[in-house]
Amino acid sequence: MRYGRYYLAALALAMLMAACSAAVDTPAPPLVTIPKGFPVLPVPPGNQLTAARIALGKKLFYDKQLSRTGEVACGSCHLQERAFADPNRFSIGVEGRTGSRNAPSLANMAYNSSYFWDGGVPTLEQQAIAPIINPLEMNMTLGEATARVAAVPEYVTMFRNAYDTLPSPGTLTRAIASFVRTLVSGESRFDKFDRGDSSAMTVQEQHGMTIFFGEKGECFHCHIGFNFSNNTFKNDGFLGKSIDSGRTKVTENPADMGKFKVPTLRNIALTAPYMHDGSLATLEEVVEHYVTLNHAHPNLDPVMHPLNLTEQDRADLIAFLKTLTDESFIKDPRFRP
Amino acid sequence: MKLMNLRYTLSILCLGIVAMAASGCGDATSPPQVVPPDTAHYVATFDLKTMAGAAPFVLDSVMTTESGVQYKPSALRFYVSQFSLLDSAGNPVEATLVDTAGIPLKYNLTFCDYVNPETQIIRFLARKGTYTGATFSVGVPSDPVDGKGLNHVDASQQTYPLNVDNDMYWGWNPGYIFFKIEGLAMVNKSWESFYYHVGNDGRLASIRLATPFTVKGAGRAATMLVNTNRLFVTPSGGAFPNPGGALSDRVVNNGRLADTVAMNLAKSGCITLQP
Repeated sequence: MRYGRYYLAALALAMLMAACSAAVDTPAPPLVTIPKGFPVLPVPPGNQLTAARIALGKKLFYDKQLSRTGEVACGSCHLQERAFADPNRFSIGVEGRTGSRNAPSLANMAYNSSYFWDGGVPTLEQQAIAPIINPLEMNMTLGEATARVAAVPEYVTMFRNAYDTLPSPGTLTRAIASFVRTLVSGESRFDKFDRGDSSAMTVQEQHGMTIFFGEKGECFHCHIGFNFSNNTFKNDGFLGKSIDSGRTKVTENPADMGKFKVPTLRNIALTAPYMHDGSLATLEEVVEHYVTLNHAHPNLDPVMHPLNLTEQDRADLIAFLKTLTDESFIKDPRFRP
Repeated sequence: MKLMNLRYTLSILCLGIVAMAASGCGDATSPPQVVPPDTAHYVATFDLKTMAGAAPFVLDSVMTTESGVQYKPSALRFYVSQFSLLDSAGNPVEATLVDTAGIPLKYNLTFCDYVNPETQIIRFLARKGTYTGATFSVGVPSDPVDGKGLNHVDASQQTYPLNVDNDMYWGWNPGYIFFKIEGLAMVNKSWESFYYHVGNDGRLASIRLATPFTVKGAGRAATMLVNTNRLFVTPSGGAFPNPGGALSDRVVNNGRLADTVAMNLAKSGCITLQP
């Protein structure tokens, strides 16, 4: 009995130590989780990632005060549960205004070499400017946006911690870019399968993958690599429901007429509607476009031709595309408001 | 005591000798007085005067182009960069643009906004003398600045006049609008909006004004006359672009029409000097 008391006390002490040890050893969540097989995250020298910058950027990303009327934040249109895409065909800006292109997913933007459907913007930092000042989106001046956050003591502290300065247009956009840079997605069932877990995909999905990467579907010509995009601009024969010059708007080169940036297909099942103008509601409609390809265009990419896919092939291809959904990405607490 | 008296006496003697020597030299070998050249730089100015042909340019008032199109401008703004004066041989010599306090402007670039009288004077440092003209560019050059082309830097990091909020920046295609004129034009008996926004590296309008002027010191060296009517006339005399034409003729930010406006700016006599 006497030894029993000692035993219980020692056990309690051991449990306490273990608990303390666990508390001490629990590492802070990493700033960015880079999936296996992904390249090193590109980060510009002038805006190195820190926890303070990411936290500030996230707060700004979800702050509607960055829009003139206080109606819209970046996060109003880029929804985490939609892989940071917008379920609306055209995003709704201040006072209900809309543009003419569909908001893309923000997954893996850090790896892109240009931004927007026409690729006009070369860096995430510069990209952060455009939606704020766009009259159809947030319709704000950077000066006013900065003044609003500078009036909030919490923001002043966060800017000081992040950039050792008061809020400014340049630090505001850099902070937003820092947060967006952390939105990395690469833990889908396809990734598990690709890393050797043969049970991660069904037979149908595997057949769809064969179509995708084979000569039957030929999707891989453009949607290739770890991010399922070759980061180029292509005219895939899809003209949309309204005239859009695409890449030509930036380059002023007629040969770029109707070319748009090849988007990532990661989380594609979550990012409907599809194409640059969001005019295709479902993956079935997208596949149908590539099967029929009835839009002749002088700039049509040479690899484009009507696909010869059976009904089963189409279903299998779509089943494969759905394996690119990264459930952990859309539930990651680091990305929530 | 004796020693101190001796020193005092010697000091008086020495002063006397020095004074005599100085007096003698002055009388015998005094060279002619030479006035050193005035190498100082003065803040000279080109004072802007904007016209629409023979009529004064006034915002929101009716102007008439040379081809008879009525227009009511609401904005006229542009950047001036790569500023040089032409020496007696006609060679460009870079001149420093300065602000109202005489402090050099960053990137040697200034901004002219018709609604802001303070920007209607181009200030630069120059020595006194006669110059055969001036050269400059309308726009923001793509010269490497800190490793990047100035026209494509992150504008959120820039201050006036290159800041985003100066309304001369394209967020969708980072770069500056070099020159803009906008307003209303008479189209089929109705006032319709027009704008010409000219940008992109290839449209930097290089202008050479071979008009002699003299810098006499600080202050006005010449008047820079901006004639908006000449924006709508090609160097060969064609009436193009047409602000009173179709939408594609009067709403312009790239393409052939933007090329034409840049060309007209540079070569149709839109900007001239008057001594």
